[in-house]
Amino acid sequence: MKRIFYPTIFFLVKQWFYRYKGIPFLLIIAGCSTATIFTPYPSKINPLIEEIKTDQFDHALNVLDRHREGKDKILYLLERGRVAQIKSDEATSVKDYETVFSAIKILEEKAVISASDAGAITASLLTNENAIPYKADGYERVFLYHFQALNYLANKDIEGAGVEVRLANEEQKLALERHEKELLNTEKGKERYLDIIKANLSKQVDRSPDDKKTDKMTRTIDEISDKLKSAFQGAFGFLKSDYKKESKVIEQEKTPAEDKELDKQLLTEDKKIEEKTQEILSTANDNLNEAYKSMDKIVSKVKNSFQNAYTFYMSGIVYELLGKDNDAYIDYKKALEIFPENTYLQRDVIRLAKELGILFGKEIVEQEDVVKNIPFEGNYGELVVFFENDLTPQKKEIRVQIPASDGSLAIAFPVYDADESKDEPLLLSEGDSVLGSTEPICYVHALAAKSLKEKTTIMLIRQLLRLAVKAASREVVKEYLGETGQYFSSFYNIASERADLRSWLTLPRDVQIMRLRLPEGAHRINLVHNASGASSDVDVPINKNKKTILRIIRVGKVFYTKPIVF
Amino acid sequence: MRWSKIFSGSLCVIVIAGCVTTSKVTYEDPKGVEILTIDFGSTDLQQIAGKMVDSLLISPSVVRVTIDQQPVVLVDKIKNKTLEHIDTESITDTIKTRLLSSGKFRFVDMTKVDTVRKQLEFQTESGLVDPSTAASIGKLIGAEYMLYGNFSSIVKRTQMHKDVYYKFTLNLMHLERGEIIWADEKEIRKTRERPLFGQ
Repeated sequence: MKRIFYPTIFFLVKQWFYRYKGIPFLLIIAGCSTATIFTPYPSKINPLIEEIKTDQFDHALNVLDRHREGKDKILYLLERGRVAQIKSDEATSVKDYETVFSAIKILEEKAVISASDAGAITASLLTNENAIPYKADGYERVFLYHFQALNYLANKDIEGAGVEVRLANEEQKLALERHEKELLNTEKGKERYLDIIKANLSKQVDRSPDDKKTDKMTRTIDEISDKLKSAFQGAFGFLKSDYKKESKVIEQEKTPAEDKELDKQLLTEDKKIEEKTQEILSTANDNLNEAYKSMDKIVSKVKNSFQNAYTFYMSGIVYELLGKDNDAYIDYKKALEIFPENTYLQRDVIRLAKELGILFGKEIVEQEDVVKNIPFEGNYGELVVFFENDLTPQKKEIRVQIPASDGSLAIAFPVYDADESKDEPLLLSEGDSVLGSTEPICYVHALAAKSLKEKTTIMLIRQLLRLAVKAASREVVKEYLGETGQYFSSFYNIASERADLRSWLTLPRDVQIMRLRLPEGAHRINLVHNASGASSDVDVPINKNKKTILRIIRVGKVFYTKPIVF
Repeated sequence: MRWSKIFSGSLCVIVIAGCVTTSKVTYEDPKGVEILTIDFGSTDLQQIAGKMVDSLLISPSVVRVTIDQQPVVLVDKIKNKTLEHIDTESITDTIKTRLLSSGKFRFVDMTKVDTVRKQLEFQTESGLVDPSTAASIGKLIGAEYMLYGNFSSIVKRTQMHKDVYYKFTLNLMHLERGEIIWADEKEIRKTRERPLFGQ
């Protein structure tokens, strides 16, 4: 199969070199050296995170601001909006999230097969996955609307928060539909990917200065596309260990007599390479599988990557604030479906079901023990605690070197470490009396890991294609620049292969909630987090028959608290 | 030869690019149809306000109460239940302005009560204002009717299409009797299709 595949890619890269004398290659390398393409994203953000841990924000905000126009602006501004929020600077946060919102909107409205996408994908074939502009995963988009809603709540704009909450719910619904469709249409996805490449090739033809060549080129491109298609399916077959079948197909092909000898040679060569590649790839595959298996434990905590009980819960609170108990009940129930053991959720669902007349007689008695501790009458107000614990774990790279006869190639994949840590509840007390402790409502790291797993197929496709392009480019470089060039090329191929480690890193690791009734007036509440050793006091005013939302963000050993009084 | 071609070609491109980077400003008809994006825009606002004012003014029950008097109306904030941050006050402002210019209604503005109170207190209590010209307290006119409503939307999206449906409902209620003497709604539906090929 590589007999078709490699010459095809070879031809493509050769065209580039013929026409541009290797300039784009150099440009891509030069242009990308400052971007995330060669510097892993976490190593850029981690110094900023260290600053946040010690209550310093301004430098981090300035650094992130510099990426306002870059290809990963969505990601950097998500981080910036969150950092500003931790700092309690809602005005900055609102603006940053709004910029992300419009950037995502532009992405959604642009052509299905766009020239800029094709350009980015082509660049990614010569460098790595990081060359593709960041588009934010489903769970990150949900958090964008969620955090924006919290910004509006902090400004007491409940109606504005309502808009964001509806957007978050729509995003979850949409992601679910998209996910179901993707499961059905992986095959279609591959076709689309090829279309994008084809579109990009055609664009290059348009640029060709020589008109006479255009016709020939168009024909060639059609041929290439067809070949690429079959080669592509062949490359995909690699993973299915389908080699014997492939070789048989090649043997059966009829060729003119004069080519037979050459073909035989090629065939044996091909077989040798293929056997070797298979051996290496299967080792690589094993490594990858093992790394991905270790992620399974975290991933099993969630059903899918985008349905987020924390968002449903906050949405319920916003609907209650808007006086729409019916909508609140629906969202609390959705949250309870995801986290059935959360007692605060159970209480809210039962309380609203009683108020709305959904539960009757016997059912109420059965549930009575859950609700009996809640005083409903008197001079009480309500305290709702959102505890955003720690920062989300980061992806790391697994790398597999593939030695070839004249140099070597590498593949790199992102994975999450297996996370063995247990729930880390926050204890709230006032004076000598313990008020209670928080219970988990969202494992963000599980959503992130699940999201990565959901993307594996398309990443694998691109990885294989890239492997082929890089192998072919080495041949071209050898032809034009000789042995020395080839060494450089080999070096470049390995050095340029970097896993895509980009993700929203200032998101919390997990989120916990608590809800209780307190007598009206000022309260000084003591927070103790045993797992991290963090502790602090916070003043919380409670108004009669009103809600006070207390948002607590823990970064390192510091609590950032924000009471929002209604 | 070939390089000179490329050079002159790129020079052309640079010259053309240099020309189009200067942004162009023009005046447009504010009543003209605007379809830059699928989001709520000026055309939607005008359609809603136009429909509401026309419907209100020709409604028989409204004609009856405005035939020999100018009822005083208070405008409540319209609840925004859409998926966009829309300034609903801007819609009610347009409706209010058109109704006022019809000469059939009078309005009170509840959002300015605090400012009015401060000014009246200043005029009567500060001793700085000539008492013969000072406006006296307790003469504000009471509203007979209230305009209130809802603005909601339903959005459906697929990879290729987006369909937005807006529904604006407005009611006119007699404050004393609680009777709704008029109500109407305006529906707007817009769709957007993504191009298959493009930038």
